[in-house]
Amino acid sequence: MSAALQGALGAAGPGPAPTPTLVLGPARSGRSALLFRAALGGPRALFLAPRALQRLPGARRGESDPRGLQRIQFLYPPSLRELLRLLASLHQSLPGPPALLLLDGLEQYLAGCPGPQAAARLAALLVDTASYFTGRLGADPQGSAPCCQLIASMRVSGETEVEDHLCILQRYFPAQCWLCLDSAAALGQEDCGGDRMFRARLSQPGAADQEWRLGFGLDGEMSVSPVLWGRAEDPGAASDTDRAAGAEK
Amino acid sequence: MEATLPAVAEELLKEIKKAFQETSHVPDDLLLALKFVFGSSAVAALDLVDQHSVTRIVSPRGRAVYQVLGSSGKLYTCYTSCHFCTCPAFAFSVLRKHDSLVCKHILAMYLSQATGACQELSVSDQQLASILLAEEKEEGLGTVR
Ligand SMILES: [Zn+2]
Repeated sequence: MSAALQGALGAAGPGPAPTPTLVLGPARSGRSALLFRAALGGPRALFLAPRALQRLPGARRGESDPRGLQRIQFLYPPSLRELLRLLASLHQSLPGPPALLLLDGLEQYLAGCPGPQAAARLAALLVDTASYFTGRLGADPQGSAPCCQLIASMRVSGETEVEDHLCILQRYFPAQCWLCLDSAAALGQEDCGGDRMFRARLSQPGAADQEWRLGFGLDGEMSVSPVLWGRAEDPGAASDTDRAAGAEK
Repeated sequence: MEATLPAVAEELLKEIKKAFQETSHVPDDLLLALKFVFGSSAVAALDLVDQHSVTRIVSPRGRAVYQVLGSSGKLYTCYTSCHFCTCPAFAFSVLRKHDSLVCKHILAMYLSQATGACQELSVSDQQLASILLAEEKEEGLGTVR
């Protein structure tokens, strides 16, 4: 399970070995903000994207302090070729292994993939790089993290060729976090407090799905609250039950 | 995070490893099970293991990758941490048609580990990076077709 992503969504607690996670959602659904939040919460992160972020996405006031940012290294390989070259040589170029490998904008790199094998290679090289970092972190007894987690984000719009690669990506990213517009929240406008509401649903093998509500204020600030399922008449009991059910697995 | 196979395949490879450690050979019932689980790849993979075609390549900083010399004399690259091979069968039977679990090269990689038939090769960090990438040329990745 992607503990860093859960951490970013406010679900604390250590999980089993991390599963590479793909964050999927339409344009402006907060994919970058979610990845950035995961990076801020972790010990050391490597953040990859095709180009520099215009501004820090979804940051809460007081959260984008320089100490948090110092733990994040940003690299911007502009093309698929550059990204592959970078991933294959990170063992030479990085001074120390990060505990979190983030890739924002996977769809832009997939657009340069000529076929399924190229898409598989990109995903496999990402997994292989995170796995290499995990080995290095394990070799360091004073290391602050037990493993390197991999989270990539991808824009889905329902019509691009890129999505043909989705079943291949799912081989390498067993956990998926889908972001979709929260239609229920859109109806109850008075509760929103912002202009956009999304639901984030995390699915992974061997665990119950989890869901969160993401809100984006007019200033772009992101807020997160868990969505409790099941016994709606007693949310507290439902949450305890969910936790117990999760612990058994 | 190591590459994972379905539990039944993992169990079988474990049994093969155990049997091989005890008797230096793989008993017939396990060979039969191997053919049942992996289909026609099983025999081809065993041939590759017999011919010591699998090499584990490591760099000083501990990055590793496998190369398998295919029956056609072509070198294929397999990643250590997840299932990926540069051969055409992986693209076709595994990725596209979902006919097979793995290609014969990945299975040979597993079997070589189980039977200790793997060659070892040390290269520089720079060389390992280019082995991870050299496949680009094979497929013409990123070039206009
Ligand atoms: Zn192969």
